Amino acid sequence: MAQNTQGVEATKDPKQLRYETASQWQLMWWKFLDHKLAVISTAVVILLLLIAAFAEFVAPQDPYIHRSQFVNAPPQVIRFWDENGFSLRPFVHDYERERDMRTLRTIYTFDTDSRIYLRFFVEGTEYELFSLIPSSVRLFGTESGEPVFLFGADRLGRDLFSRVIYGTRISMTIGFIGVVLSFVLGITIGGLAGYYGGIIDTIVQRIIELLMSIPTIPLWMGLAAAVPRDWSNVQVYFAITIILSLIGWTNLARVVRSQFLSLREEDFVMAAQLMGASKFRVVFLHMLPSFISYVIAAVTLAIPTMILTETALSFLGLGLRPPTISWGVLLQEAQNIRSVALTPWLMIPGLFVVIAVLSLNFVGDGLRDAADPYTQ
Amino acid sequence: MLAYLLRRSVWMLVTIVLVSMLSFILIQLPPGDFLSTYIAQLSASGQQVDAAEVAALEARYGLDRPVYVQYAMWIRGIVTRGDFGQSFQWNRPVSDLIWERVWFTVILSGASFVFSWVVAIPIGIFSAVRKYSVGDYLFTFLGFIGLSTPNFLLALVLMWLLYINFGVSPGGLFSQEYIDAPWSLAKVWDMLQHLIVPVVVIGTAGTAGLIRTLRARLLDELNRPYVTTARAKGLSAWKLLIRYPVRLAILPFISTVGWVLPQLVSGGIIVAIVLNLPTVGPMLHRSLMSQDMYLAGSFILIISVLTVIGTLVSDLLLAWLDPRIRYE
Amino acid sequence: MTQPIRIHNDPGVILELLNLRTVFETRGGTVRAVNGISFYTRNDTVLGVVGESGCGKTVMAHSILRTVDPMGGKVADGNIFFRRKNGEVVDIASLPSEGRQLRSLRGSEISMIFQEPMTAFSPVYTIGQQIMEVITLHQKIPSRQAKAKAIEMLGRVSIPKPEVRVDAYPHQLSGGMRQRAMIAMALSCQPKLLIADEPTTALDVTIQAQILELMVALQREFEMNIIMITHDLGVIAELATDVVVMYLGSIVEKAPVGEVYSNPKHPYTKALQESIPRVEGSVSKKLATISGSVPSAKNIPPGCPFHPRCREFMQGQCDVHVPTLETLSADHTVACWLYGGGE
Repeated sequence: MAQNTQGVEATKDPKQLRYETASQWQLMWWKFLDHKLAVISTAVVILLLLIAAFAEFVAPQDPYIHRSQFVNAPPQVIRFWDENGFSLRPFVHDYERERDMRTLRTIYTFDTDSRIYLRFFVEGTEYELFSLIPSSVRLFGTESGEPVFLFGADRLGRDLFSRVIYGTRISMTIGFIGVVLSFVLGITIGGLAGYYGGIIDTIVQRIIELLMSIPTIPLWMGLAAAVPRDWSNVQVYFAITIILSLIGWTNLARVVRSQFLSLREEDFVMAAQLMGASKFRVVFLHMLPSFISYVIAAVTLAIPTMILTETALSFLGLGLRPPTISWGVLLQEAQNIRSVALTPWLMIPGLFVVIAVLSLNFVGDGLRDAADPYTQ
Repeated sequence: MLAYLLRRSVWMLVTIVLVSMLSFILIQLPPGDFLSTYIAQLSASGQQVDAAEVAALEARYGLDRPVYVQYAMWIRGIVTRGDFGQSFQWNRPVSDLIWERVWFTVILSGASFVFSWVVAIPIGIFSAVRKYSVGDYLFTFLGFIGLSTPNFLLALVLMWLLYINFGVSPGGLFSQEYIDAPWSLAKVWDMLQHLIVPVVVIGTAGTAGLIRTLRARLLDELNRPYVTTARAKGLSAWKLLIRYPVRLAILPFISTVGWVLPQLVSGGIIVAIVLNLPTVGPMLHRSLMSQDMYLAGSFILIISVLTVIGTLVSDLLLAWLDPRIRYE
Repeated sequence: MTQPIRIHNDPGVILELLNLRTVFETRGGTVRAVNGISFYTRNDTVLGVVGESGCGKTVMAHSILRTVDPMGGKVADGNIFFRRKNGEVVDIASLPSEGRQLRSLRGSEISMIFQEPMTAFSPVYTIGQQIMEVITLHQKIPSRQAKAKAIEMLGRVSIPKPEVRVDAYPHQLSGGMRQRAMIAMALSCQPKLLIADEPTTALDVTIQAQILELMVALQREFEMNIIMITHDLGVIAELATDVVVMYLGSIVEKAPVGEVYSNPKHPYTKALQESIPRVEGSVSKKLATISGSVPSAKNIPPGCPFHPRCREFMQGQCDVHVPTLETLSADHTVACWLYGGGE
């Protein structure tokens, strides 16, 4: 008979067995891999972070260089073929200029007979990677050294592509740094409230409710407007980051608090306390590991909010200020309908905002699903 | 029920007091007070500074007294005289400037709110009932895109599309001929037409979150035993859905007003700036840019108070609709 | 497998299931929750259906009302013959899902009550509203009359002060009261068949007895048929007239209640019998248990589904061939190779 019971065990397929013996982190990992969009989005986020890290290398031009002959030039499209046939090497068409005598504006058209060939790893202007390693190799450029404008140029003839690449650095880091600060605030305040409960919990709850019940944008705008005008770019950058995290911690604190509250009643926490573990030990060795996955998911979902808010503030001229380059600062150029109608490519930085925020949301969503690997 | 009502109202009052403090802190944040800015501005433009006027203003707002006295005087002015302080940029009392804009803001936020509900409820129900269908995935994906697009960008893109396709720029709330016209049916109609673009833009931002909330709630409710009970009675599928799980899923949905409303108001401010609507947004923006802090602080205060009141109303509505709270 | 269809020849038969199969398609494969069962039940009887959790008894119940469809299940094969109040016999298995004909049966001719009286009512409507709904749905009467009827029904199930309770919300009633209200709702259209799915499991022991007593009384009063689904043999002993024993989606034994207790045939029925704690006898005697656990319905063992846990398992027979229901006496059938079975 015992033999028979084993027979039932043996009918389980090996996949099922592997599932039942896997560790929690392994289960989370598998569950995350199930969420295809989240996996793809992770790749996108990593790509954006790489761009942020190697902005000098990726950008074909110095983002601050003005070229009056390219003012408001439209984007050049990378081509492999045109009327003159197919080419294995990518190229762009050169501009042709004409002046509108009424508005005195330059009107650009493309010279379809010209070809400016693109190449990887060309020599460009000098830069210092991470402010340390001097180099002049750029990811791509033209063979002739002629500037190329894949996203067009702005009203000062600066290369929008290079500016977006540099903007990636500021916009992504502000989101990540802001979240780190929020995280510290949220986990401390939420942890205190959840662990001690009682009056501390009530007060924290009320503060969170207060901050969530009032419209945050005016609040943010008010705080951001109070940043002194004469501060340096670095100071403004940190001030804005701190402002973002000052209001952004509430949601994280709520997650941490509710996890603490439910864990406090769990037997293993009680057991640890009864065995004389210190409070510090109980919190950091027993409680934190069991809900850290939820916190990671919440943190990931907080980053896109930070990025969106920074973009909005900078767009309104209340956040980062030129010459700092962020996606929001770049979008400032597209503030009125006249400039948008004339140079619609100025909205391209917005596309990057959408892609970054969308990917981070998907990653966060996948993490949230994976954080609870036992539900099907 | 009465105790619940009382508790919520007291908490609302506390929130309003805290919000007013926050607004006042914002007013105080920039270096110098509005009077010194005002004097500096006057002398910069070569005008005579009237010492008597300065003294009168100083006394009125207690600028020579400690901060908490100034706060108390500001609040007393608001409560007793409806006096929110002085806008140095416009050189007029704040209360002269804000009310019409606040009124339009309420209309715009209200309309966006209704829009987001009207869109979110049917889609949320559809997505839950046809879980994992093509439509569900489509709406989820669209929802994520909506969630990820800053609504000022959406406003810009919509404006641009309207401009290049129809040559119209949908800014403002009224056509040229109605701006100063007295109120009439035609003017209301004109305003409604202008409201469409901003309402769609502002409303879409909250819609994605609402759909996801409703879908999740409804999925929970669809598996409850009372649904099977009701089905075993012989109710038709549609009646069953609306009377039972939807009715219950709507309840927690109503409590989303608490976070949707602040979000809508926030979003509305930026969109209004882009679309140049005569609401609070552009004026708040301008006042912040020029650090006209009494004006800015008053706007923040009023908008926040209205939002808190809106949330309270939704709480009461929820209590009225949910017998479990009503009979607590 | 051809079985005689009794319901057409015998007006005393009210419900007859023929080779019913209900499946759930899941990502992990097809779950055969009900795997070809046949039985019939006669007028004015209480049919007990017993089995461990997961044996398919609840799915079988939901198959009869076809409420299994919206749960993702499908009646894949077989017939569910039911004799309507007007004498006409319908095959519920062949009716369109959620169609008008099906809905006209639910609540009016076949009613169902559930395990969880706490959650089986919607919390946002009063008890009265929910009872009136089923009345007005099937009988065209004004709502005032429906309310009077609801109050009357609440009185019939011995709820004190029914005219007050009719306006109460479910959360204002105790569990026992709620189950009474549930019975009142189920009976308000005088159905011919009441399916009770573990109606007393979630209640206190003292309340359980009251509810069972009430059900016995009402069964006589309303002259209806009850199918009582439970895992509790004590409940069966108290009110069933016939018993169906289910294991892993199949019927292993069917007999009058006395036979099941005095003369169980199938090794599974015997094992169930022995696992009931008894007051008499020596205290030191260890309570018998059934070894192993119920295999997943995704992976039903070949041959007799019970063979891996069976004490009288015969190699080469039970694990290869499926036993068919063998008639031992007029009302006693069993599916086991120990009693011949099959050809």
